[in-house]
Amino acid sequence: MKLLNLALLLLLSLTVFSQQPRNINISARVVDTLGETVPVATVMLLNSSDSTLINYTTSDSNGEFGFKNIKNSGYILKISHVSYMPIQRDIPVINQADYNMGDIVVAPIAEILMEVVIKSAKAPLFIHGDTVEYDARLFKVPPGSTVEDLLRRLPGVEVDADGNITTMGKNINRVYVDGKTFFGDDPSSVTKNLDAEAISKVKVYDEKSEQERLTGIDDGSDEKVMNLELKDDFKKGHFGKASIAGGTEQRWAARGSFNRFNEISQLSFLGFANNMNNSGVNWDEYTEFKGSSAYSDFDNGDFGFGSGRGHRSLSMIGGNYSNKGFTKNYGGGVNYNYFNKKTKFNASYFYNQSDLTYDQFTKRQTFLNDTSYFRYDTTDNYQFNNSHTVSSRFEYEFDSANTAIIRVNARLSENSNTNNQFQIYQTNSSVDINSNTVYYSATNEAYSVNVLGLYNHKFKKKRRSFSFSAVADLSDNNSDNTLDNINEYFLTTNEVERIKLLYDNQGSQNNFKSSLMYVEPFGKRLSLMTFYNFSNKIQESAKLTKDVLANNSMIDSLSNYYIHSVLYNRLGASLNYAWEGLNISMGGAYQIIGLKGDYALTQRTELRIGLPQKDYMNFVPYFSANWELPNNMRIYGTYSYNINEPSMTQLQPVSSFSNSLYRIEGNTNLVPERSHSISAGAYYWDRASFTNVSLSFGANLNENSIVYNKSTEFVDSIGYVTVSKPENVEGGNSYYAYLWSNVPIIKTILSLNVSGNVRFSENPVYINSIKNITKTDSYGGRIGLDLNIGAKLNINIDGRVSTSNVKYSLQTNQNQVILNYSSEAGFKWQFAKKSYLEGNFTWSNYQSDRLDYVADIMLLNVSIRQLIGKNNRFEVRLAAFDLLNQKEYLYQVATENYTEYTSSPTLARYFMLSVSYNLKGFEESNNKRRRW
Amino acid sequence: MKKALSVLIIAISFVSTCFSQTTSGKINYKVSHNWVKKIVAVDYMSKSTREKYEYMWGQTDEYDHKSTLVFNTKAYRYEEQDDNVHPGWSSRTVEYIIYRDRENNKSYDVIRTLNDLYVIDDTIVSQKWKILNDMKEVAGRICMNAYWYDSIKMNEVVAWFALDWNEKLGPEDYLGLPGVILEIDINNGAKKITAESIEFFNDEQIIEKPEHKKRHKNVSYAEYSKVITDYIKECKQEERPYFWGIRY
Repeated sequence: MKLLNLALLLLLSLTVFSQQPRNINISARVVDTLGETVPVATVMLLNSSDSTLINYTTSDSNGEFGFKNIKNSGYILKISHVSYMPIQRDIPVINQADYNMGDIVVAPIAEILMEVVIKSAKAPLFIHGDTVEYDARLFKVPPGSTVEDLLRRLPGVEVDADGNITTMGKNINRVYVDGKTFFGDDPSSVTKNLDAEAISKVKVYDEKSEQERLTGIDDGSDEKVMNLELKDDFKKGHFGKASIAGGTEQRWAARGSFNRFNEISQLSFLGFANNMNNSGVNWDEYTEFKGSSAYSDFDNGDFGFGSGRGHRSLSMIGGNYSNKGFTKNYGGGVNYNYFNKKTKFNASYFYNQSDLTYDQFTKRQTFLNDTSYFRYDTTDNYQFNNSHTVSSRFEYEFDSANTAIIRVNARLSENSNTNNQFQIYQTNSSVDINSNTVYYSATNEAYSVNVLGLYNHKFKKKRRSFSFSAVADLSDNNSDNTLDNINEYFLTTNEVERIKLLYDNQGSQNNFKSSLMYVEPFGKRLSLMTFYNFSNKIQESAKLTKDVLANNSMIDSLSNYYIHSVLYNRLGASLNYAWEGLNISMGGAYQIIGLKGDYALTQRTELRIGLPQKDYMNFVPYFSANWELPNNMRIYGTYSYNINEPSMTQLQPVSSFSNSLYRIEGNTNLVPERSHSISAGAYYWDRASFTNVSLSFGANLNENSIVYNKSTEFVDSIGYVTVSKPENVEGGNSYYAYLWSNVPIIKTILSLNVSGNVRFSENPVYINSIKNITKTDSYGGRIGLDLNIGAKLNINIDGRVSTSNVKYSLQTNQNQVILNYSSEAGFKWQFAKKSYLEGNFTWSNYQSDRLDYVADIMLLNVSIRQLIGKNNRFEVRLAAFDLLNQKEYLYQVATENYTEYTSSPTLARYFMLSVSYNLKGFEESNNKRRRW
Repeated sequence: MKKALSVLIIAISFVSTCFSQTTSGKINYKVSHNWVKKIVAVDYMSKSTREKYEYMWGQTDEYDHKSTLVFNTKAYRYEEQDDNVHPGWSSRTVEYIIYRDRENNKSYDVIRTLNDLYVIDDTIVSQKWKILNDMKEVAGRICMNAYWYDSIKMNEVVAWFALDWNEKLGPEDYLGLPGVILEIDINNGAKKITAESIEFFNDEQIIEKPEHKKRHKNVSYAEYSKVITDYIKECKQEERPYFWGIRY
C-alpha cells in the first residue's frame, strides 16, 4: 500500500515537473493609476533570493515589454521610472511557457516630493513599499531647534499651533523614535522635547491595527504613524587610561589620562608622576592629549624660503628620558578643542616639573702645540625645573577665500641648579699640577609671551594668493648665581687661591616681526612667489658681579649693561615650476642685517657705543628641486646660502667667568657667519615587495664661521688657564652620505634593514694663535633582522658599529680612533590568548685608544603581562629592568684640541609591578607593527 | 490636474527617449576622498588605531579632484584630471585610463599599479549589482541606487544610475546597470565619484584608444584581479591599509 502511494506521488510530481517548461517568455504592460500607458520605464529582472540584477529592458511606446527565453527559476520583476514609485512583482516558477502578467499599475510620485525634496533639497527619497521617507539632515534648522521645528520644514507635513501633526490630510497619532514608543502616546511630547540635530530620517507610514495584525484581514482602520530615526553618527564618547606601578629600589610611577569628545569639541586631561627618569610626555601621549589640534601649532609667520627668524616653540614634549642620574617628575594639564565648519579653537594648560640628581666622572686630555695635560672632573649636580605653559590658537575661515589665525602662547618657568665640581689637573706624565674646586649655584626665573596673527586670502584666479603675518615675541629672565672657587697649586709651591663671586643677571628680549607674501600664477605650471620679511629684535642685558671676599664690591671687568638690536629686512622672489611631479623653485632675496650695540657699566651710568650701527647686505640665492618618477622613486636637491648674525652674548664686551681656570670673552668685532648648504637624495619605494631604499648626500661649506678660539697658558702658582674668544674664522666644511633600506626576504615574515653613514669634516680653530684643523672621518653601519612567526611571535636582532678617525694638524701624534659597537636581540611572544612575554638584550662596547678606555655594558630586560577582564580593561605587568645591573651613562668625544669620556651612574636593576586600566580595553593582538 | 501630470510625464519620457539617442557627450565627475572614513573601514587593523585616527583627523577636510568620461556610440574613455590647484606643488598623476570599445564589448584599460603599468585587454566585465529602492537627483537626473560588495577590496559600493538614460556608461570600471552610473559611493562616503555636469555634442567626438609606454604588462581582467588580491592579502598580514599602495 505504501509502495503504491509512493509510486503515485512520484508519478504526480513527474507530471508537475513535466508541466514546468525549462525556459519561459514574460510579457506585461505598464500603466499609471489613470490607465494611461507608461513608455520608457526601466524594467528589471532580479534574482528572487538576493535582488541581483539578471536582465533588464525598457517599456515601449505602448508601455509594453517582454523577456524572451529566460530560465524558469522565479524572479522579482522591478519597474522604475523617473516619475513613478518603483514597483515590484514576484514571478514564481510557472507552468506555461508564455506568462503574460497583464497590466502593472504604477503610482506617480507626489509632485511636491519631486519638486521640493529631490530637486530643491537634493535629498534622496527612501522608498519602502508605498511610503517614502527623506533625509532630515538636508532640511536645515537653526541649532537648538526641536523636532517640531524640523517637521514644519518638511514638505507635505503640517504642524498646527497646538503641535498636532497632519500629513496627506490625516492626523498622526503616534510618533516612534527608532521604532520605539517614547514618553507615552502623546506625539507632541516627542516633537517638542527631542533635539532636531539628533534626527537622521523622518518616515511616515500606515500602521496596521492590532486586529489586522492578528487576523491578517484588512479592517480598513490603518493609522498614520511617524518614525524618527536617530543619527547613528552623532558621535560622542570618551576614553581614558590609568596606571600605577611600584617596584624595588623605591621606584614608583603613576599616569592617567581622560578624553571626552563629541562632534564639535574635545576635552582632555593628562597627568603623570614618577621617579623613573621618565619626564615629559611622548609623541603618542601628546597627540592624544592635543587631539585634533596636535598638528596645527606649526605656523611661525615667516614666509619665503629658508629658515625662519626665531620661532618660539612652546611644545610640552621634550626632555622625555634622562639617561644620566636619577629624576623625579611631575606633570599634568588640560586641553580643549572646539571646531565647526568655520572655526577651530584650541586652548591648553600644562605644568611640568623635574628634579635631577647626578654624579659624573670625566677624563679629558687637552693638547697644545708642544705639550698636553689631563683633567679629571668629579661632579655632583642637583637641578630643579618647573614650567607653566598656556597655549591657545584660534582659526577662523570667513569664507573659502579668507582665513585668519591668532595664536597666543605664554610660559612661566623657574629653575635652580647646584653644581659641585672637583677637578685635578695632571701633566702628561701624570704629575699633579693643581686642584680646582667649584661650588656653583643658580636660580633663574623666566617668562615669555608669543602672539601671532596670520591672514591668508585666496583670489578667484586659482593659485593666486596673498598672506600677511605679524608676531610679537617677548621674554624676560632674571637670575642670581654664586660661585665659590678654590684653586690649590701643588707643583712647586703649595699656593691656595679663593674666589667667591655673586652674580645678578637680568635680561629681556623683544622681537617684533612681520611678513608679506604674494603668489601670482602664470599658466598652469609656473608661479611667482614674492615676499618681504621684517624683524626688529631688541635685547637688553644687565650683569652685575660682586666680589664677596672684598665686601661685595662690584667687579667692573665682569659687570656690564648692554642694549643690542638686530634689524632684519629681506625682499625676495622665487619662480616655481610645478607639473606632474616635477617641482622646481629658483629664487633669490636681498637682505640687510643691521646690528647695533650700546653699553655701559651699569644701567645708571652713561651709555657708550660698543658696536656702531653696522649693516650687512647680501644677496641670497636659493634653489630646490623635487622630482617624482613614475616608478615610485623620488629624487631631490636643494641649495641655500645661510647668513646668521652673532648673538648678543658673543658681541657683548664683557667676560663670562666660569672659574679661575676658564673664562670666555666677548668680541664686538664679530661679523655674521656665512655658509653654503647643498643636499641631494633619492627615495625609492617598491610598493609590490614593500622594499624601501633611501639615499642622501650633503655638504656644508663655511665661508666664514664664528669659532671659539682658545689660548691656554701655564701660569705659575695657578696652573693651565684658558681664555676662549669667539672670532670669525674662514674655511671649514663637512660632507655626508646616508643610506637606509628595508628589504623583505620572505614577505610578511622576515625582513632585513640596513643603514649606513659616512661623514667627513674639517673644522678650524686657533689654539694659542696657531691654526689647528681637526679632520674627522666617521663611519657607521647597522644591520637588523625582523622575524614574525605567525601573529604571536616577533623576534628582532641587530648589530651596529660606529668609528671616528680624528686627525689634528696641531699635533699629529694625538691622532686617534674612537670605536663603539653594540648588538641587540629582542622578542615579543603572545604565549596565551591574553598573556605576553617580552624581552631584550643589548651588549655595547666603547673604546678609545688615547685615553686607554674600554667598557662593556650588557643590559637585559624581561617582562610578562596579562590582560584581565571581559573587555580586557585591566592589565597587570611584572617587569625586570637591567637584570645584570650594569646600566651606566657613557659618552666619548674627540674635537678641537681635546678628547674625553664621561661616565655617570644611572637607574640600574629594579623590578616593578604595574596595574593599568583602559576604559576601552587593551588590544589583544600582538601588535607587531604600528608604522604604516 | 492629474491629466496634466500625465501629459507632463509623457513629455519627460519623450525627452528622455531623445536623450537616449544622443550619440556623443561628456560627463564631468568630482572625485572626493575622505581619508578618515577610508581608515575607519579597514577592519583588519586594530580598533584602537582606527579610533585614534578618527579622533585626531575627524575634522580634516576632504580632498577632491575632477575626472571625465567622454563617449560616443563606439567607445568611451574615463580618466582623472590634475587641475593643479595647490600653489607651488604638484604630484604626479598616476596613469589610470579606462577605455571601452562599446561595439566589440572590449576593454583596454591602462592602469599603473604597484610600480608596473598594466593594460587590461579583455572583454568588458561588469559587477553583479543588487538593485535597491531609493531615488535621488544627480546632475539633474533622477537616479535609483544599487549595491555591490567588492569582495577583493572589502568595500561596500553603492551606485546611483539614471532612470531615464539607458546606456552602458559609468565612472572607473563600474558598469552593468540599466542606466548611466552618475554616482559611486564607496564605504559610505570614503570615496565618492559624483557627476557634476553632463554635456552633449551634436558631432560625433573622436575617442582615442589610450597610448602608453612600451614597457607594460598585457593582462586579462582575471590576471589583474589576482595581482590586487595577492597584494591585499599581504597588507592584511602586515596590518597596513592596502590603499597606501593601490587605488581605493
